[in-house]
Amino acid sequence: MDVVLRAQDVRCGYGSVEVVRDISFTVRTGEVLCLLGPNGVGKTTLFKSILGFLPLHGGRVVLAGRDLSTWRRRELARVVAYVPQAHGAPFPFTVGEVVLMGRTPRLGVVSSPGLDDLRVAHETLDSLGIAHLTDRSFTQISGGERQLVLIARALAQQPTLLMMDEPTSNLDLGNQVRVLRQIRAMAAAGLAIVMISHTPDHAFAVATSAALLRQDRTLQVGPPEQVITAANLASAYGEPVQILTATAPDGTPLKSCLPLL
Amino acid sequence: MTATVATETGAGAANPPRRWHRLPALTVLTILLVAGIVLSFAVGVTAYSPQVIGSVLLAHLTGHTPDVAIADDTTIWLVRMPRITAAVLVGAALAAAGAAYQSLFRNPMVSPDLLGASGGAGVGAALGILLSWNNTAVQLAAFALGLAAVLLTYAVGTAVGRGTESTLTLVLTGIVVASLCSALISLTKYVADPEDKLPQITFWLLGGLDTVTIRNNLLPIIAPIAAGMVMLLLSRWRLNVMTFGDQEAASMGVNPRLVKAVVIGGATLMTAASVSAAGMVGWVGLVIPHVARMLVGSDARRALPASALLGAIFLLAVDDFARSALTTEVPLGILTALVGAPFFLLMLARGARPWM
Repeated sequence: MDVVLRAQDVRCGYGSVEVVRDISFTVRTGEVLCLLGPNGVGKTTLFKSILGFLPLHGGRVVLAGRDLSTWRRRELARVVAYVPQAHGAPFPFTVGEVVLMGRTPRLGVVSSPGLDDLRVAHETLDSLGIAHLTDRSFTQISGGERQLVLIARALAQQPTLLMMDEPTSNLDLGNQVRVLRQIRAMAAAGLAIVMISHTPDHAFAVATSAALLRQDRTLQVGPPEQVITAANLASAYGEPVQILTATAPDGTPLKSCLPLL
Repeated sequence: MTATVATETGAGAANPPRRWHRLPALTVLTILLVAGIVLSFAVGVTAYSPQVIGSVLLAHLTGHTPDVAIADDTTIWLVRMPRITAAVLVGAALAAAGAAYQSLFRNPMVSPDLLGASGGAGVGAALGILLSWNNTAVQLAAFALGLAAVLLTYAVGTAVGRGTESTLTLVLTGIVVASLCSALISLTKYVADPEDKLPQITFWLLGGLDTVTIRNNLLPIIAPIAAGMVMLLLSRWRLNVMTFGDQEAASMGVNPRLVKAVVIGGATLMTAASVSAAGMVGWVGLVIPHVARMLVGSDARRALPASALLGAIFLLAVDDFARSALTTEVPLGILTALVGAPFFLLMLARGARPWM
């Protein structure tokens, strides 16, 4: 498996304020890294720094073998795609048009998408099982559908790394399951995925590795079952939890995290 | 209209891949505009047949002397032609600039004077009239100060808003600059001679195309409006992406700062040129893009040209009304407001909110 993303002793923050430091981890093709940690600990800052929205304060981010700072915006967008939290839009673009926007990094600087781009957009919608939404207005579909459309838009960029910011937040149980199933399928198809989550269960469900960012700014990275333990979560979030284990009907082991009130 | 669009898109849903373009709407608008132009030459105090109009226009365009009475030649070539051309250019420019700003600032309530272009142009014109400059100098002053006001907004807004929410800072700076311009206009009015200059400034600000001449008013605005239109049309696809915000646009490979600079530059050239020739003509840039989006959808690849065509048709119709329907000519800015404001309320009341 190829290394897609490698962070080495990364330090990052806003302006002159340093939020996190000494961050190191590696993501390979087909891997899902789930980033966990309390609110305000710097998950989003780290995320935005890897996406190139914020300059690094120190250390190195290597993407597909090349230092992040040497990537041009458009080149970067062909390799890394960003899936924001599901949100609205100021104008009622159709779902098809929104997904077509994912083709932008592969167009000339002043050109518009052509028939090939339309084909890619449609195949992407099809692969996510939401082709029926193509002509619906992005502002009128449900939150879960919007999240899937934003994933489709990112996939239309044909990236090798997908950065997902809380992909299951504000979704009902059914939509959470659909998004998680999609994440697993995309990883199986060879994408490298980094996702922020507030739900340890989701890391158990889809992640190949978990990264826990604590208040003391230390990052613990490893297999989910080693990182997401009752002791680690209690120390990271400051509240006692218990990890339960069960077995799915098909025999796969299941793990879940429950708060002790 | 919304129903037609829905059936058009619904029909193709079964067999992908297909074009999401809906070209017929643009073709229909183009035909309407051409018909409107022909009609505008015919209507007025004197009515002319298409043959007379055609022969006069053809003669001038090919460098001959037209074979009609001098009075008719003057009316068609020197009075109606500049006025019709100006109405088309100004209507198209204001509506396209408004549509582009609404996408760029992710806000459907935005109009082309957002960053102070009209205010600055108003200051330039008021100052020129106060100093008894000639028609051409007043127009150039209006154009120059329109550009200067937006440049000031952009420079201050970018300097102050370094960092995250720079768009919001830009909009707020625009409000400050526009209000500063309005104070300066009031100041020139206050010191102007109430018998002579004050009414001139007031009438200029109300907007109108009744004094447009080829050399003085028309020729200077063609180049900036054409250049601005090209800049906007080249940015049309990136404008779509920009409606998702700077960070998401950047994640899709767009340089938000560059798109902002090009679009603001283009829209400002168009708005300042329009206001310099026609005065403060409001509502076109705010209302027309909404109608255009209702007809062709949100995609700027269609919404931008549709806005330009509709804006041209609208201003042409309003100006035809202004010069032929009433015994005294009512200033254009008053008419566009009288039509635009109720129409906007009607759209709100009918629930046809294209931004929802």
